[in-house]
Amino acid sequence: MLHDQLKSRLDEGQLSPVSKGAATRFLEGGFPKPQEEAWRFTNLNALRDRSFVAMPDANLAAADDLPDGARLVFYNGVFQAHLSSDLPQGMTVVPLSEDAALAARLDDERLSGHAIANLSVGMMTAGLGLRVSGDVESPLHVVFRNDGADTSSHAVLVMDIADEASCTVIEHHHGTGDGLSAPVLSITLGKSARFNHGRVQSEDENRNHLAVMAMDIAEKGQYNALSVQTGSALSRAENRIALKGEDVDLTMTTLYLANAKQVMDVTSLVDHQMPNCTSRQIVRGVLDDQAKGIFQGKVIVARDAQKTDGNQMSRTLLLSRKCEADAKPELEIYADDVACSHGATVGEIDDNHLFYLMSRGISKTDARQMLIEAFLADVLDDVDNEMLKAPVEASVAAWLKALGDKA
Amino acid sequence: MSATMETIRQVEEATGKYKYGFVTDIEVDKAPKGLSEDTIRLISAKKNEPEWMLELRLKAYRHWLTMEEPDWAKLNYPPIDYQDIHYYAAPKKADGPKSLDEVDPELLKTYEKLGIPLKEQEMLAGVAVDAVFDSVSVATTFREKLAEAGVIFCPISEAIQNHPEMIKEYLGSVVPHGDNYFSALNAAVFTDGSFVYIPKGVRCPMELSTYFRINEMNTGQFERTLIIADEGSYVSYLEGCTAPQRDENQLHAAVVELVAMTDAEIKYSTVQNWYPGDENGKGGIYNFVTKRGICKGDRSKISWTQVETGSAITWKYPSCILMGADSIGEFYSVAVTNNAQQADTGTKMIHIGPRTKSTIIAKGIAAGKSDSTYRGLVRMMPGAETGRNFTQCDSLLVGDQCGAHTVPYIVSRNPSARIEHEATTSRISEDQMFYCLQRGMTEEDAVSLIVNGFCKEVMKELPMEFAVEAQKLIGISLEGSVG
Repeated sequence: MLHDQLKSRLDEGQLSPVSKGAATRFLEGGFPKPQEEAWRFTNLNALRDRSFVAMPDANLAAADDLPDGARLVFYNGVFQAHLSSDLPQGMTVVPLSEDAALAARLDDERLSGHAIANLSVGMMTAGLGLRVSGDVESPLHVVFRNDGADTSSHAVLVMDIADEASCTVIEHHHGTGDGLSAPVLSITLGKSARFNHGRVQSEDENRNHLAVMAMDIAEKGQYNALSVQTGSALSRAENRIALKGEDVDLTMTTLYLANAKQVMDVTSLVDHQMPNCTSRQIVRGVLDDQAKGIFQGKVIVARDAQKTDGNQMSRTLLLSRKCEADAKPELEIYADDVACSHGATVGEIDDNHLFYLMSRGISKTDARQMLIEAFLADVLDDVDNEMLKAPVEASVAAWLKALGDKA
Repeated sequence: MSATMETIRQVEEATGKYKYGFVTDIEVDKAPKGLSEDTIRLISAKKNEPEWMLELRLKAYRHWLTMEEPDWAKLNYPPIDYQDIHYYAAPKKADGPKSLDEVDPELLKTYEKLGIPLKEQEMLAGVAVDAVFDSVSVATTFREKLAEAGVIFCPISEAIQNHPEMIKEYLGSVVPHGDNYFSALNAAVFTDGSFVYIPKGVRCPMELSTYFRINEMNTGQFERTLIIADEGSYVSYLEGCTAPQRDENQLHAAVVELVAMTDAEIKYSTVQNWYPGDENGKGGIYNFVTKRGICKGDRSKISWTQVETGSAITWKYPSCILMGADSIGEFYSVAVTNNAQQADTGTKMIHIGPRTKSTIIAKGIAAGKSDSTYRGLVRMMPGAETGRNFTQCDSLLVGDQCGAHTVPYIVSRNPSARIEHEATTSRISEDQMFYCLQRGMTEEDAVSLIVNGFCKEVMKELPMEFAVEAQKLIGISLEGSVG
């Protein structure tokens, strides 16, 4: 039981101050309840009664399916130095236990106020810090492998990207068994730094995946993210981003593809604290069978954040009679000289589009498939970073192929 | 340009003071402060209510005791002491007046100051007014003409006496007492309001109107309105309100229920101009209203139009339950907040029946230090085959100390349903201002003109009588927000 494990860790008195605080907070509140506004669409009741066990000593002897090139590997939440590669110049890793400054970032209220982040930080055994300086050309793959029934993984990664540095990091989340993966990321992007961030979550269909990321972006920082979720019975990717300097440019493209009884949740908070920043969020969801898709996106524009340009667009495509789509795009605006908008649409494939293709001799199944592909390609085509695009496209293609085979 | 000139005149007239701020001095018969079963028994007894009505009230009260005041809205106000309120106040008159001549002249003067002399309206406007002065309806006009058409338009207390079967069937059927904290409170202590019944196939010969008015110090207003439009009928109902200026917050928790049968249409328009408080929000009205309509029959339609300029706090979500096939729900709203006003308003569209359609147009204008929030829900149930919703929420910020927020909830359980939501936030552009100013307009007139243009889509939904008044109100409400 996670509760008992956390308790005994607290009682042993060996936790770092950060973990101790987080563990205490989780023990007070437990898993979020559906009455809590942030969790009204995603119900964690099923997790509350499960007896997950975290594996502080998890060790994976070998793996042959790891990506080529620079990589960091976590297994059941624990960093695996022997499976990780040497890092490109400009990148260094350090255990959080040896870098108090990085570890302190986990005390940020966006994480300390988040139940799942508290759980993982409380459970953290070997959190990892990653420092980036200068221009790092080649991408770094961060692999999160999770295996086992009733196990829980609590990977914690704190990244610091120095002023004027640039890098590309791609997260790969996959695993088997009906355990819980709850990775926590904390990222600080320095002045004029550029960060390309890819993310592929393709865990097994019966896993539970609850990810939390907190990020600060300084003046003139550029953040470009592309992510896709296709895996897990219950999946939530939550990003909590603060724009803390002027002239920040942020683009986040998120895809989620769900079938069977999957529940897939994309939650984001973009907090514009300074003037002249731009944020664009694009979300596309495809839901089949009895899947449930959730998009909660909040944009805050603080009083000082004049000249903010904030956009958010969520579109959901429903393929079956029994799926459900929930959306809550939120704007909270305190500055007057801004151009902010959001849009959300939910609907099925347009009959007219289908008819147009079929009238040209394309079978209904193919036409449908083409239209779904087009719905996703529409946003993928706008991504020019090939390093980010390749793994995401591969994941989308695999999902679409399975969909085609079924039809 | 005549409307603009009118606005200019109105703004000058208002000159910083709430135009309708005065207190009428009439003897009032009121219950002691505080809420208990005894208070409720007193209200019920004062109203000569049958036993079953008292039972309903007590049931609601007991339920209310178990509830907690909601805190999810983006509103800040000091806690309300529900024991520090008079729950009953009636103008002191032994029997109800039979005609306008019997109405206390002080009351008539109040209406005159408000610009709605009953006599004049009787003749000129052709509008029947069920005027609510504090809690008891004191005069109802045009009753006869309406009776000819078979329309029932009377105070709800009278309906409880004369039409108990309809009250029993419909009161609380759309907004049950357990729906929310304020609806439970209302169900327990409501003192008056309007009851409307439009018989089958009747197009109500005139627009029905109620002027609400809060007058007595520390009397909460707990209005209850029930409108039933039977098969194939049509009614347009106007609600408007103003309140005297004073220094203590006044609570208003009204409930409005609409029932539209097959092919029936109800159009409900509101201009809300209660005292918003001073620059710091002190003394304004708390407006916690539950309004909901049900499109019970096929092809029925309910349309809410509201212009909200008053109140210190507005908590209000006029909603439609679209149950009948092909039924239609509409929500057109303008919410203007200035100084320290806070408005959390929006709508819920619950699509249950097939081919149901809804349209939401919400315009929020925030000035001064105010906060304006749109909060809405569109829910497509599995049976809402090819249901359709279009939502547009636009916010306009005037000044850099205000806030505009949008919180829409979208829940779709039917893939053939189409939901579209758009929201934008912007401010009055310098180009627009420059254009107006170089044509000789003052800054305030320019703002009023631009804002009225911004709200045009909603304003055009208002009945004629209201449209003029609403335009003026928007001008007055934004007074002092620029320059």
